Amino acid sequence: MSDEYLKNGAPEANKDISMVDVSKAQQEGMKALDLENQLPKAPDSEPQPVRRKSTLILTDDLEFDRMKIDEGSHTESSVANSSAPSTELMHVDQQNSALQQQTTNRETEPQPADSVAQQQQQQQQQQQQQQQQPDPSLTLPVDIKWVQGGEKVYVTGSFTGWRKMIGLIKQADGNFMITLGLPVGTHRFRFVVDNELRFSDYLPSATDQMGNFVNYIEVTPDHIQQHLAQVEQQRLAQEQMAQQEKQQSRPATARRLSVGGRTDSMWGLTNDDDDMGGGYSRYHDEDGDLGDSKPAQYISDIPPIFTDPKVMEQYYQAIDKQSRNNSGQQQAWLHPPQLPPHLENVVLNNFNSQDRDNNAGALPIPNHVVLNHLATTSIKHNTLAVASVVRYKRKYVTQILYAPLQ
Amino acid sequence: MVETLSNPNDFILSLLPEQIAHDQKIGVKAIRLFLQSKTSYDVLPVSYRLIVLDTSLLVKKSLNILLQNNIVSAPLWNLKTSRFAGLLTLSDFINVIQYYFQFPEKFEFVDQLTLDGLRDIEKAISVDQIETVSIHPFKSLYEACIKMLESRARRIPLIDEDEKTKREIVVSVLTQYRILKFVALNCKETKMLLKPIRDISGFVSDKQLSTCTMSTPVIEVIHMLTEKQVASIPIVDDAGKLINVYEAVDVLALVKGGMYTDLDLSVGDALLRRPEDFEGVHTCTMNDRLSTIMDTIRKSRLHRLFVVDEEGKLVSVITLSDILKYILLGED
Repeated sequence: MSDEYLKNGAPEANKDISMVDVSKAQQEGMKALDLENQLPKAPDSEPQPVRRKSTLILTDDLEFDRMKIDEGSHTESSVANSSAPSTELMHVDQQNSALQQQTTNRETEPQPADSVAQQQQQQQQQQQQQQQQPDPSLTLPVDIKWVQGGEKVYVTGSFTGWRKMIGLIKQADGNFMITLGLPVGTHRFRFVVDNELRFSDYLPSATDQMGNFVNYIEVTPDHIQQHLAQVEQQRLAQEQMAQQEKQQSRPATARRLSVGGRTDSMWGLTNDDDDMGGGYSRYHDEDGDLGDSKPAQYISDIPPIFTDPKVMEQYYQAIDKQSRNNSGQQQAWLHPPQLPPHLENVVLNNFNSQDRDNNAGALPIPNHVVLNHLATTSIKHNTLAVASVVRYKRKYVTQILYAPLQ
Repeated sequence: MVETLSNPNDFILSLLPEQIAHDQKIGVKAIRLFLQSKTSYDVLPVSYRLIVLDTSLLVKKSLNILLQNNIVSAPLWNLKTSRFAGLLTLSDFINVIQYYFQFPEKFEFVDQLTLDGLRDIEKAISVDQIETVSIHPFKSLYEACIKMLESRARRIPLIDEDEKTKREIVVSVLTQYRILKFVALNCKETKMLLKPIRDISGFVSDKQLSTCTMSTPVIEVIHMLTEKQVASIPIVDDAGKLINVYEAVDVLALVKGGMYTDLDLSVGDALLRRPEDFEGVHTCTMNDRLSTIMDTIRKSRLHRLFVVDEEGKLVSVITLSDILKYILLGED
């Protein structure tokens, strides 16, 4: 890992790892991009750093979807910039003249500022929305690897709004890798390998909403938290080290999520005892310690919630409030579940008491599934009628009992 | 030959009285055998309803339930003992009316009277408590009819024991009408009962008929129902012609909704409350035969036939009990 950093022009060890090394990596990628770009640069496309920054932090699926809407122009610009377009995008590029490319470059120019503004806006929105929503500036360094050969490998994805291609650095073993700082969310991406749009067979893949087949990785808040905790730990450790050995700098050994290669340790989380793989983690009973100290025991007292109407009412109100807070259906717990359809057919409803020929009270023969079920009328004049169909020998008696409500 | 076949009445008239009497005897015995061979259970439809009332119901509420379901009687269920508690019949309502007439100051008591309290009413107006006879559904219809005739009841509850709880359960309630209709529908020997009813000894004669006129107060008529232990009082005009009948079932309409304030009405006014689908008064003459009467029972829901002469004057009455008694015990 440390070797990679050095090759990539990795930063000093005591800097914030996630932010710095990613931006460095990004710079590397951009350099590669720029080198590839054979076209004359538009003079006003200078402020690269701003752009880089913006592309890095583009994180949200929301924004990604927004970008998707006018995907065409972005694709155009990215293609124009790279001039190493995929076969899929080629036809667009070939139609463009240099002038058009320049104009598209100009058009793309304000985008960094726009996206920064959007990003700020989003941050505000997110802060407004909930504290639970993760801070998008918190990112997790993720290694994106390409192990299926090629000479020049780029990655493009939702984290850049599909506008930029980030170059991967060739490793000593012949594979390619780039480390990106990715915030919480699901990130979709594809590779451009030797001008060909491809996806990795060694990464999770799926079809996105537009029907494109993509690779994806998921960064959860837990990942970030683990990462931050580790960074903090390392920082403390490094401070100690720095005090002990002043001049001796030690490369960071940040634990990373390694993407690619081995699927079983895809996230590098196999070290974690709680990670059971496949997205499952070991279950921890939060009250486990409590339960040990106070073993559960059976009691014969009926809890007041079942006997005291006041407590019961409080309980119901609490449930109601809870369901309302969760924007669930109000008082949904009050409604009984729906009847199975075969119980909807009540034989008594087929009875016409005005039919004078039917003085024996004859009813249609009930389906056997309705036997021994209790049917009721609505309460009228404080009187409730319940009915049940039972067998008597080989006949069916539908007994209707009228009873007062006291 | 063809003519006699096409007109059955001519064929009957051609028969000798001895022949008719002989056929009648054979017919009655065949019906009796039929009643002995069939059980009450056989009369029940494959699927039917049974309305049961809790004894803690108010009397006025139970009245509404009877009217609502178009029934005149219901078995009672005592929730406290989980046991069958007898039948609620029209005579119970008549008892309440008479009690209220006797003790008008007890309006509050009558208004809040529950079915439990009906026994107290009977005691207060010193009416003999009607013994509730019941029978097991698998006993023969013949036995059920005999029990009914002995107790003067017009209906009999079918009681069985629950296999699990060993408690009695009400399976259904059979009425005289249902048994006779069952006979009329399923027993072709009723066609052999060709004897004119005037010739059946003791069938229509020796009857003290109580009558009333349209202007008779309805409460007097209600008193007559209980005194004579009958279910209806014929209404005649000054000439003795039958013009209507006041039936026990008509008291339901009279005190509908728990109103006991209309007891001073005349019978004529009280009958205006009668439902519009009243099926009318069934009559016959002395020359009619039981075969015809059974055919009428098969077709329509009747509980008695008034016997009138050629001028429409009331002569006698044939109740369902009379018919049952004749089939069960006559012609011996």
